[in-house]
Amino acid sequence: MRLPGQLSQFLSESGAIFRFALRYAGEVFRAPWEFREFLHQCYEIGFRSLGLIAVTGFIMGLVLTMQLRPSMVSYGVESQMPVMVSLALVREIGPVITALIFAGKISSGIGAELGSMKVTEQIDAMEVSGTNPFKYLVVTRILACTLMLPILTVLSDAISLYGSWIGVNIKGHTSLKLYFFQVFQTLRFGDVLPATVKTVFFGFAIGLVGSYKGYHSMRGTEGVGRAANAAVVIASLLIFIIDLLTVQITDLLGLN
Amino acid sequence: MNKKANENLKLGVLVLAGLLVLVVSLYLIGRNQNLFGSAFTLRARFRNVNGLMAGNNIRFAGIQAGTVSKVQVINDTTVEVTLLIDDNMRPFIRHNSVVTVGSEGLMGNRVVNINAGSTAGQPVTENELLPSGSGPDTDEMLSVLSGTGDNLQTLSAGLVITINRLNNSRALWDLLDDAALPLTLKESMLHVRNASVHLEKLSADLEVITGQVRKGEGVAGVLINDTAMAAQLKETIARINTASAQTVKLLAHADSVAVAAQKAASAQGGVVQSLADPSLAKDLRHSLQNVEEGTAGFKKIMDALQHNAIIRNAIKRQDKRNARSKTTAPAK
Amino acid sequence: MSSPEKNIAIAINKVTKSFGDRTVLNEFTLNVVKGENVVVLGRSGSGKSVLIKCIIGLHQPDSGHISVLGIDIGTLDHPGMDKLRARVGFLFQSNALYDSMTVRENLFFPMRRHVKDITATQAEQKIMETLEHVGLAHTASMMPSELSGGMQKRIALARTLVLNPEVILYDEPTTGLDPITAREISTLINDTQKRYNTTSVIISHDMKCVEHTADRIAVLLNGQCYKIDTYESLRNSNDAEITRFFE
Repeated sequence: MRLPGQLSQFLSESGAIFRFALRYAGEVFRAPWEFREFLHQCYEIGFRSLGLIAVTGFIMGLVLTMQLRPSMVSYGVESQMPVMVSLALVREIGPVITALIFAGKISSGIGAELGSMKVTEQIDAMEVSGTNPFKYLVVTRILACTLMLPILTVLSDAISLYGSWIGVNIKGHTSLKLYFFQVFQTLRFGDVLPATVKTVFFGFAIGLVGSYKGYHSMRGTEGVGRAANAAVVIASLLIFIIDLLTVQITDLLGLN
Repeated sequence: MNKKANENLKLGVLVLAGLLVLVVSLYLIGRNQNLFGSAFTLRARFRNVNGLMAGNNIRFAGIQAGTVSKVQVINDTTVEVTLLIDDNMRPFIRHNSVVTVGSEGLMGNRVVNINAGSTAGQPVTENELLPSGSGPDTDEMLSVLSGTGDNLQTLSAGLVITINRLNNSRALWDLLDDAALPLTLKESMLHVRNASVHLEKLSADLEVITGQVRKGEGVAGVLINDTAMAAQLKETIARINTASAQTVKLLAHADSVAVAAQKAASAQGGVVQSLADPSLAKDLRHSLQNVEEGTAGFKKIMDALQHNAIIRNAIKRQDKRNARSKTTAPAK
Repeated sequence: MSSPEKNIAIAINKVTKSFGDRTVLNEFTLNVVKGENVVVLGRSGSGKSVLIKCIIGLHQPDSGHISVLGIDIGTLDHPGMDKLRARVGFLFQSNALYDSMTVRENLFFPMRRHVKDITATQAEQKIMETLEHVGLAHTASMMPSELSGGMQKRIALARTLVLNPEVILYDEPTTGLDPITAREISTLINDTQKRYNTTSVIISHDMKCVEHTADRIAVLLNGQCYKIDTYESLRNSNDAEITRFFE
């Protein structure tokens, strides 16, 4: 059986990523753990993305509110603004936009970093130095992404809602307390929990793809660039695929 | 390794901040869903819950009091709703409170309203089945509204038909367009007036004659002594009586005709359905004719009376006396 | 040289390795005696790097056996391999310094796993001692990117030396360096061998370095060990395949 070149390439790539994920699953629970490096990666991946995530989150909330406002006013449901915005932000926009920005920053970063480490034999050097580079480089990064993205998303949601409150107050007036009261009046566990759980998978996908692309990057500077680029593209695509799956699953579970 | 410690500090702050926001959010949401506060349950049964779902709000006297925890079909006509209510509300909800299903605004979420019962009732107990009522259901409102709309439509359709019929009624327009009608009416009125003037004169004369008769003077007094003449006179007077009665009747008739005619005249601007009846116009014309004939008949009688010699004399004398009293002084 | 078996540091026996259709090593056989510097000479792409990566276990040979310090690496599990690697240093062609770490952290990195029960002061002492050996003690807190190519090479060497390896594998140690620096590195290799009493396998095609460091030279040709001899005898050889390297 002969498959068309692109299809077989796609399938073998998918298979390779899946094997990579299995290897991660095998290694993540097995000692020794690179705990210090894990904390360091959490700092690098999580804390250092906070500024970017906060700024984009704030703007997102503000802009979304200002864009929605005219339609809400024309339907005469201006007072329902917090309801609309909080649902949109918490359920979908917050997690997905945060994940996309995170993917743009982190997935490419990991891809380029591991790619250049691969090219300059640093990964081999680690192997020789008695350190399992997969544990040291890959497991720590994937785990850090998996745990940091949900936290960043939660903070981003909060900042977005604050931005949205400012957006409401540009043309109208609502107290912050009333605004957040309405927000929490609206939200249900079924809104927050699936959204938070899906960011865990987003984070995992971002870390996995970035690590995979970097770890298996081709020799040379061009290979590193390509690894970084492909990491962002595939990670972004995976975010939407996971999003699609999550909405189907939560629907089936009756959480929607 | 100072840098490391610094990193860990910042990381710790980030993680704790994130977890704090998450936990506080979940707590606030949970509190709104009554998952953490103490609460008690009540039940209510409905025929139709109009899409009420678990998680919808419950209002007691308009205040957020809890959430719907379960909506369950009991049988083909009964749906049982389990209400999770904040413990703080317990003393205020009486067992005769009425539970209704409403909505938040016209298009909003479904909401359960508990309307306070009379103060005489006992506070509710756990898991009590409260009486349910049908609240202002928007569906029902809309169906009533739609009935009203249908009626309005029928009405306006009827109006259109009426106006069309009026527009197309030849008889009415003939009547209204008949230029001769007002003229004839005017003429008739003139006759009526003349007749009544004659009648007045006649009755005045009669008064004089009867006065003279009573006193036994004048021609009448003499005549009464004559039995033959008396019989003749009696007959004459009886005829006059009948004639005047007829005249009164005739006048009444003329009056109604005049009213009808006036109405017809004013109807030229407005719409009077009855005028659409072509037979009416005919009746009207007929009546007018009658009036004319009636007055003509009456005039004939009056003329005949005047030609009667006895009465003519009496009248002459009367005229003379009238002229005399005018020159001297009023007799009475 | 009491018993030849015991004196052999590295025994490569009929190792074959191919990538796809291309056979890089074809039943390659070489024995390296303890304490000697063996240079493997070959043209680029002839499989020299593959050979020493097989020795350290970064590549698995398709067939044949390699034993390092009397241990057959084909039979080792992962922890066993790590234990052996602590005794074998490897100087990468591209230095492979961790560019996210300072020089000190780079040197500490191999110690964190390979050396148990070491206090921070002992580790620091060892690091500074090694840095002094390569003449770069002042760079301990610098990042690799702040250093020149020659300095990076020396730091990379220092990193292999902190574990006191018995065998050091050099992958093209002078490639990409200017002649003077290359000369310094060659000298450093010899100094290291004397001071740490190591056995070295050096891969190179830089004849100056080869001349300076080699006790014996193994010529790698068509995946096989074509000839093993001293620099002098190869220099005087009439074999066209060998004279080509001296041109």
